[in-house]
Amino acid sequence: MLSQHRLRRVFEPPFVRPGRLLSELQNDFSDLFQAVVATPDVRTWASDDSAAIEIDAPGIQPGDVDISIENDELTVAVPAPAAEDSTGRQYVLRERRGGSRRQQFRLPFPADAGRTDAVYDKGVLRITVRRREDSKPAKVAVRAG
Amino acid sequence: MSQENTTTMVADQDQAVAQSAPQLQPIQITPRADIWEAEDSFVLAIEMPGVGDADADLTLEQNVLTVRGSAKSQAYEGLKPAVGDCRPRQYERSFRLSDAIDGQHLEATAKDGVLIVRMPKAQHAVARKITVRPA
Repeated sequence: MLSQHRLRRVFEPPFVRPGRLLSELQNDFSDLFQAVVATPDVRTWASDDSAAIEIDAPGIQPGDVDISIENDELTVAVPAPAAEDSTGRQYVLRERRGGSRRQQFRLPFPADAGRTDAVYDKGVLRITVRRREDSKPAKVAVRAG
Repeated sequence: MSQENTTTMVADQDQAVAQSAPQLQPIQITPRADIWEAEDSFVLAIEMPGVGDADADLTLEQNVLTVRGSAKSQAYEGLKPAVGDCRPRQYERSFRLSDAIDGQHLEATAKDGVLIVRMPKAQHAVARKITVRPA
């Protein structure tokens, strides 16, 4: 029997918990869910003045994605996959999840919404963000007194 | 059904869930799939984000269909991995097909990270109407 603590850990979506190694979480899942493994579906890269975010979102309409920026917070609302007419379908297997998702990212710098680019390619939403120019640390020269 | 998530990204590797390992061993992923029955075929829709037509591989051997796909993120110059597992992804899943499927005529196409495989039913498996002739 799994302890309460372990049960809670197993059912939390892995990408909600920064500070946990993804491989650790996948080990939790592999005990119970042999057939299907949760996809590590958010990837981020960053430097002091720019960042890149990739979100796996197969089968969606890119026009329905909502991206907003406020200071150092970037929020992405990913719509549910495009509705197919699946009424009356006889499913032999049904695993794909249909819901929408909202992901918030705290960037290491205030972002420039004007220099944010988003591309949807092969089912991956790729967002690149740059730091606001006026927020870059300014250098101050020391005059000889 | 919707989910809310918050992720904090910091460039400082100490605090981040960093994939800082020098080796870029791909992550092995078992992709999610739907299979449904149409009138004259079965359709398999398998989710492999980042995989296009050229990155997908299908093999059929002894009635076992194996679907493979590889996805790799582009190199982001000057950026370090922050949160999430940034390694390349290797998708693989096998399905045992029954004799009801005509394995010689599978058709597959990738669209927006979903590989759709159309598997026509074998002739003997398609329901046929038999007309009753007057004697």
